[in-house]
Amino acid sequence: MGSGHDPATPLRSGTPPVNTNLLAAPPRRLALALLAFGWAGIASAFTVSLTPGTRALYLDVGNGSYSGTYTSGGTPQNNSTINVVSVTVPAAAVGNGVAQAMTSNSTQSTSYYDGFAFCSPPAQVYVGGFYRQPGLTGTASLTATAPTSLTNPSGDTIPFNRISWTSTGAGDTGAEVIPAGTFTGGTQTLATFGNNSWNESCHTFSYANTTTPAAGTYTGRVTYTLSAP
Amino acid sequence: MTLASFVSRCLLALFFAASCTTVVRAATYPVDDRASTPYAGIGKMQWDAPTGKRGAAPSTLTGRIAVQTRLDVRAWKHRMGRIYLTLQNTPLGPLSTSWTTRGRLLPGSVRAGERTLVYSGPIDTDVLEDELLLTIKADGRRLVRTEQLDFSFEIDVN
Repeated sequence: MGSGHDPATPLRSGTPPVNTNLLAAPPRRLALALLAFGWAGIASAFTVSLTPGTRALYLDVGNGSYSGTYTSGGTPQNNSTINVVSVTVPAAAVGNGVAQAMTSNSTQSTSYYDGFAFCSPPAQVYVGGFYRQPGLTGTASLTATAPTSLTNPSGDTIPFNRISWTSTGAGDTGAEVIPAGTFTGGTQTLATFGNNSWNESCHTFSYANTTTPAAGTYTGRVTYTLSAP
Repeated sequence: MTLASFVSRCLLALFFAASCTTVVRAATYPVDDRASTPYAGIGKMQWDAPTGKRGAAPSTLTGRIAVQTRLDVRAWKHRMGRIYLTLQNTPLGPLSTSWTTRGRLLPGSVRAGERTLVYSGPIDTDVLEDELLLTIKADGRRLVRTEQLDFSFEIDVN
């Protein structure tokens, strides 16, 4: 640390610094003085090392946890809750082609971005999170992986593509960042999160009710994943 | 040597002497700060909390570091001087560096490639001491690897 400058050696002045004694000195002394001037001009004193910001991913589907909010400098927390979205189709309506609205057991109404009341549970399920890393480029991909079918204990099935969702959010206008869609059975991309951005939408699920399956309770689990290279 | 030659040489010497006096007075000198000590935890940069539009996360980082500054100014003792903190140019683009002090030096801010006054007045001691608490804001899109900021002190002596 430190430069080791000769304090008598000026960095700059109106004209090149000249010591009056050098005027009468041999050329060698003058040359040495000029070299010293050039060296002193490029030296520096203390150095501060700056490290890049940390890379981070956060995803919240349904109930999540956060200490504080993102805007207040809070920290994401783990939440192991797996929310359930369900519908009971009245016997008289089974297979009539009228889509059945589903509801959830989610209680997540606020956005951890800033605490804003963004979704209306239990009908709406909050889906949101953020991604950021140092640099100008980079995106994260939000995917959902569903099995081909929902199944009941007897082994009967309902194709997962009978379940769709709409997307909205309080105060939102224009296209949703995590748009409406239909499960395909398999892994599908729902959205791409740009670098250094928070993305969120509220999803409302429905069952297409276009077939008449065997009576029973059909279940299947969808896994949402936010990933970045 | 003729009288004219002698007078001419004397005038030339006087001219140089006068020029040199002016140059030294206006010169800028590096200040030895080798005794300065940055504290541990240097330059730990944190993402800034967003402000403004929902969903728009900031790309700025902020880091803070304290530096116990000791400037060896004995070479200019009993003279008037103006001491500046300079920040060398960096590849990080726009960079904001500000600092507070305990009062011996002046608080302020500096941009890369520029200098800011931290002391003006008589040099009445061998070593000028103070603690600088630096706050550095950088663009997280440009800070993709560990980078160094080079600071130095220089003095203009009257």
